[in-house]
Amino acid sequence: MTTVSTDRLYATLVRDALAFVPPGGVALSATLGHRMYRQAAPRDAAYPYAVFSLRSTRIADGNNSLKVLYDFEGFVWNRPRSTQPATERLADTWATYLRTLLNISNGLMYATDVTAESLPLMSTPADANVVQVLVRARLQVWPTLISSLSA
Amino acid sequence: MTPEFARFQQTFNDAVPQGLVAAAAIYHGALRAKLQRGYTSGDFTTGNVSASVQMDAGSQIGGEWEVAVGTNLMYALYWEMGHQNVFTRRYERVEHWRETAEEEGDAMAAAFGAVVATRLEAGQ
Repeated sequence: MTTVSTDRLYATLVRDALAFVPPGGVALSATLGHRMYRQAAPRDAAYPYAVFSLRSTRIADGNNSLKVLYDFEGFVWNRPRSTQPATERLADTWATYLRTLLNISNGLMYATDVTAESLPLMSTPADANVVQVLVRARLQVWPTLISSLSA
Repeated sequence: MTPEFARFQQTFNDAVPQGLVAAAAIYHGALRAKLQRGYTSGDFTTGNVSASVQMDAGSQIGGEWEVAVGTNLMYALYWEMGHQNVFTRRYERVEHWRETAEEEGDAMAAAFGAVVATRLEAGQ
């Protein structure tokens, strides 16, 4: 892991989330395969899949900090409606990964304020058979230089 | 605590909810203006979502003041959070609420500060 670029942050968050195995559970990759996408899913993506983005990038504490904050926003998508419980379990696993995230290999990254919440049943113009579970967190990222300072 | 400090503190406590209402009013107004065009091209909108946006008078929750700005129209949630649209047969998302909050953040902070400062300088 390295916090040197946004691209590498995304890559770490995808790879580690898919590989994460919760206590007594199974890895997200067992259900999602590699279908965890940045920003948006391909139009032909098979259900279930996950999409996440890092938003509202800002420097912590005004401009007097090395720490960068991102709002992590992820969705687990599934279909049909009967998959609601299984979809919530996927989101819970993703949330558990974020709660336990503490990566200090090259820079520092951890998450706070992690929540998972199902969106209500939608109606027209939305497809009522699609299940969406929202996973939110605040991602706190320190640059790679702090690793050299602590070496 | 001196009487003067107690009066100062009371003025500040009274000014905070008023400042929040002033900040929320800016968000409320900007949001309603933006939602006049609805969530699509803006060619066929009725202004329904814009008219539905309401703000309350503020309330104290757990020792913190909060002013709520919201709508009871569920389809606004679909557009804001994203959905698979049955008409366009694709994923659709338009975020007016979050973007407006970010765009108006400085103006909201300034409105809050102006109200609080005015009350404190007036001393009542």
